[in-house]
Amino acid sequence: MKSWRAGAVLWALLIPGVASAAACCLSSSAFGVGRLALWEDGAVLASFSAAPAFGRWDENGDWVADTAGTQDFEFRASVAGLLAVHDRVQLAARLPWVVNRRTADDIIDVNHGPGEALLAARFEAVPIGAFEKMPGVAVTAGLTMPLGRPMSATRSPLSADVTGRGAWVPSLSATFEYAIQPWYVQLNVGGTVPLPMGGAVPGIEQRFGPTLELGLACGWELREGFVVSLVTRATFEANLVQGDDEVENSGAREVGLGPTISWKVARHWVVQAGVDTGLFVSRLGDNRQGRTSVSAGVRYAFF
Amino acid sequence: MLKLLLRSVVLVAVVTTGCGPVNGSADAGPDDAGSSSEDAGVVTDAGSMTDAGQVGDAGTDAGALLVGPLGVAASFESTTLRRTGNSLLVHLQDSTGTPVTGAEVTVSLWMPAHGHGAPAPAVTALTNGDYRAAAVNFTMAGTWEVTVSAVKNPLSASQKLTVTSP
Repeated sequence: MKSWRAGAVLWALLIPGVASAAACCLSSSAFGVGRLALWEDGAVLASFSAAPAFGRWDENGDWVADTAGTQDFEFRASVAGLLAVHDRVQLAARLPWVVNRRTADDIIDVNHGPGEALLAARFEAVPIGAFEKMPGVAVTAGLTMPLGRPMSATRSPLSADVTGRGAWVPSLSATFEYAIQPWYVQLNVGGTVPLPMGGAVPGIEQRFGPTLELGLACGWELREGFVVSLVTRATFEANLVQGDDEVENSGAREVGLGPTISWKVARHWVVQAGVDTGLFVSRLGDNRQGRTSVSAGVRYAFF
Repeated sequence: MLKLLLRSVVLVAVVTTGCGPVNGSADAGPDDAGSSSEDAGVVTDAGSMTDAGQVGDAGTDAGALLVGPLGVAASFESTTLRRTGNSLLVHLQDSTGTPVTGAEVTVSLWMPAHGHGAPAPAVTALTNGDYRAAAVNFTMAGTWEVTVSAVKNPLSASQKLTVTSP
């Protein structure tokens, strides 16, 4: 009975992170593409996001607003699929398509292309609701594939054709979920370890710094089938390394938050929409663009 | 007699840095500046008469002899940088002040904190050892290293500017 009550609200987590799916600086994430409910055999998802930039945090953590006449929009459409291959094991894949629109001075640069694809496998170590006092625990291993165009291959004047970072990125994350109707809370802890890549510097391999990611979501089922959540996140990225040399002040950090609504519109369908924004003040970011992402997603489940 | 004199000349090329008015920096970069340092060794052989002649032809006066080190002075035309369309002026001269024309001049852009560059702007030669990169585009706001490299065999040198794009 307890597990059923928990599951009644946890469907809101089946599309986690839609609001934060718009990558900053096109970096990859350790968090997967959601999960299947206990009774589901598979699911397909589609999501869309628009993320304008309003400025950047420089290498010292100072917030620098964009100058007048400068605009940077990132639009992202993603399709994803999940498949249950075992009671406790789910496979997932996601492919985004990225459209950039950048303007500066007299130049308007619009371009698009595939983003970084993700393959992931999730293992339910402690199934949700298995124990009354214990949260569900899952581990997700992922691999981001560099299908996007990296900066080293850009051809457009404001690099609007850049849709990826160019590195293979293995990732690992743990998810803890707990619910007591009508509340739920979810904690994600993960990290990525980008592999060395060539092309950025002639003759030298470059490796982006490993990242630590934290995400915390809590929500409340306002009425049956309609959940409002608040999602917070923090990302810390270590300095990048060129050859054997660590590049000082090349690490990054960012925090963000935003509300998300999830609506189970039909037996097989869930829609979700949300906003995720950085906090555009000094010291709450470092070496990152500051974006606000508005997103929406829809999910269809097979069972 | 003149030919013998030319053959005996020793040309020295060194890297010059920090000459630009826009935040000039002497830090070594990941690519261009480093390689230029290696190229900047002492050239003890002026080469054949053909080589000496090529160097001599580079000066403003036909047949003038260039004497290293090669000096690179680069600065942006405007003191206020834009994101795009910046014009970078480069002047090359040897140690005697003779302008160096006909050199191969390249400009590279690098954003060290993000680990990427941007498309290299085209460089056109003007007169009297002057060169211009007319479309220096910074693809995003932030701190950039602008490295100007010049090669006029057997001389080579580079200069790096550190600038902040709006």
